[in-house]
Amino acid sequence: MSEIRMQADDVNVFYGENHALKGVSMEVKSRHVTALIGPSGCGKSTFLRCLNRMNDTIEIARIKGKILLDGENINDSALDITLLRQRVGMVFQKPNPFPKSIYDNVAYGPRLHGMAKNREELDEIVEQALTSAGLWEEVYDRLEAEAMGLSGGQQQRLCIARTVAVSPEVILMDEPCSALDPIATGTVERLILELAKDYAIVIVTHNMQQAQRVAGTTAFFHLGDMVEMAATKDIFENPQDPRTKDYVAGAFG
Amino acid sequence: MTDQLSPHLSASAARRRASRRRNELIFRGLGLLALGLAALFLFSLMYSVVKKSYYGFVQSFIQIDVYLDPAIIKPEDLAQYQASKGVPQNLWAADIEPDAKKAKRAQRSVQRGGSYKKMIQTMLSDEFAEHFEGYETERERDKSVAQVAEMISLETQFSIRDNLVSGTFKLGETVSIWALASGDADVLFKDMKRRTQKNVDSENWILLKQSVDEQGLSVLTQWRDSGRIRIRPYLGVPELKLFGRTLLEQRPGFFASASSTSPERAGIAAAAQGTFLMLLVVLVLAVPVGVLAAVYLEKFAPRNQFTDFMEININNLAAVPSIIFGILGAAVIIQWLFPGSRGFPIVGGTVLAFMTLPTVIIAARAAIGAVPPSYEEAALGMGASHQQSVFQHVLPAALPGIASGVIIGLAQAAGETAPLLMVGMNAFINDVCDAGAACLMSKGVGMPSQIYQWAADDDPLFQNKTAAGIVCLLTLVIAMNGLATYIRSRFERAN
Repeated sequence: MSEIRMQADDVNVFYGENHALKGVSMEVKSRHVTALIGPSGCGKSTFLRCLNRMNDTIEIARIKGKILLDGENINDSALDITLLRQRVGMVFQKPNPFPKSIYDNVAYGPRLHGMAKNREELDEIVEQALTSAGLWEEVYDRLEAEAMGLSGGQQQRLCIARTVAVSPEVILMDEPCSALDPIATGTVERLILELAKDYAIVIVTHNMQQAQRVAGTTAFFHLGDMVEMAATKDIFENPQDPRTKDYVAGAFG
Repeated sequence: MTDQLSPHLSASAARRRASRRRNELIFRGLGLLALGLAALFLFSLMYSVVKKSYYGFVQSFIQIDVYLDPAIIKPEDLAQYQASKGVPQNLWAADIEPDAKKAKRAQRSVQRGGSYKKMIQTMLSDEFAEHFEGYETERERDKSVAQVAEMISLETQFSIRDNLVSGTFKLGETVSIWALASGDADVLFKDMKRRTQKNVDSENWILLKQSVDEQGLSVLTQWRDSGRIRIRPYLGVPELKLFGRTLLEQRPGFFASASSTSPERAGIAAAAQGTFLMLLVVLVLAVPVGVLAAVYLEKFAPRNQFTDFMEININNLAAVPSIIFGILGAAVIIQWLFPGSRGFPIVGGTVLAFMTLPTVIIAARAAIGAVPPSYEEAALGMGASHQQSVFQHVLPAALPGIASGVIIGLAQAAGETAPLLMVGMNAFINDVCDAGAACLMSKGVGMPSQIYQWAADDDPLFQNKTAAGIVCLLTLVIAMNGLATYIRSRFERAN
């Protein structure tokens, strides 16, 4: 049984007057994939963005509740937010590489945090990150090429490599395959399963088949509530809540 | 199948459709008409300006052979003067002992333009000896020669002197030089009417031209002798003969010289320099301040009433008439902060920088706002601080947009006239400043105010200079805007 990496306790998010997330509590286990599913606007992305405080960039957002990362409350105002984001990395919905070379994209984080003493170490980190994102074989001979010239699936894997290069403990993925074609999606899903051997992964997805394919645990969100959280198999084959049952059966959403 | 006809097929619906088509046709016609009118106005403006400008760009030169007569300028005087000016001894016109007192006397004789005029006159009177026959007295003959000599600009006298002093020309030689034609001659050669002509009014001049065309040159002598018109001798026989004998050239000289009271010598160089210096000041002042202000307002400032107020003010400032900024410069900088700085390019540039600042801020904010938030998000997600994400990712990505905004601001500043008039940047500057950075703090003139000055003179030669100046300014502004458009289109393609 894997250990608990993050623990959310009664997390509430308000966008101005709008109560977007209502008292969500859940655990994120290391070396495990947790999927968040639910219809649009249900709060799953909002919750994900609480885990590395990306909601801070939204001025009107207010967050209440406790989220512990290895026992430390990340909503503590004394916490260094950049350190939090080093430890909890994020991959976004749309591939968003920097308009730089492939190498510079991956090296950005290590350079930013002074993780390499010299060029050799940096090269090593870049190679490892690209290898673990399954991209090394495809790009090793053109590391100085523009990242924007890669295909969509390659760009997304580059973003994953960029996140991995910082050696986070948790990787958050916000619908990482929604902008990709089925073949690229398959590659990324295999990659997620591979990464789950080392990291705690939380993935938001619209695609229920995807959740079934990659996640060990699935949580169903609806209208700001976390309705049900269980092993993925149970959620899809034996849902307890009627709302979950309707959703996974395709009655709505 | 129903026998009910669709309402869309009724006669009234058909009428409605026909009327709609008609209206759309009329609208399209009006649009095309408006476009055509605008194009016509633009074309006629450009045509008249460009056509007029041609003679503004070129100057007439006459080839003359001048004997540098040692009887007029004494070699000893020239050598003394050369010595006092630090010319190397091997170039001196004579073996002398440098002497301060003699040098002072020599200076008077060497610098006097009359000496060189005399050389030119001697040349003319020898060359056209037969023309100057028949005068009753020597004095009348000399007067006639002097009038003919007026076809050559004063500039030539100074140029002969400078070449003598520098050792390029030697006394006793006969040099063949291209002499700048005087304004009067320039007008003649350029086949223009000159309203300010002193001796020939335009009507007579046209008659004269026609007669010459029909009857040949001899008519001029007849007309002059019969007293039918009073023409300057050089408008008559000798210079036309000269015209036929020696080469006459139109050469571009507009960019080489500063303004002058003699239109044939006036050029844009000093004004271009002034405009360049001012744009430099604008670049140094407005760009860092504007861009950083934009970064702060767009990415760091809290949204509150104060920042809203600032934003409204900046947008309003962009619409403030430029003369107001000129008054600000005159009242605050010249009257209060730095008295005596009137007409300095650094003051003009500062005023233009104030004026450009809102443009730069607005353009930079738009460019920063247009950067996809995903760059910033990605950087934040990697653990970059807000400031790092802005300066490492947002700003570089916004740079092309900012650059195009800055260039458009500069182009606007380059064409602005009113503030220059308010801060005294419309002085008469007849010399290009060569003092480097100190030129920022010496009286200067900008291209628009130079054009304004020339436009006020109704001499057709100055009118040509005005047109030429306008063409230069337009070219500059269009080139800058083109550059901005190019940068922007490159940027859009890259995204």
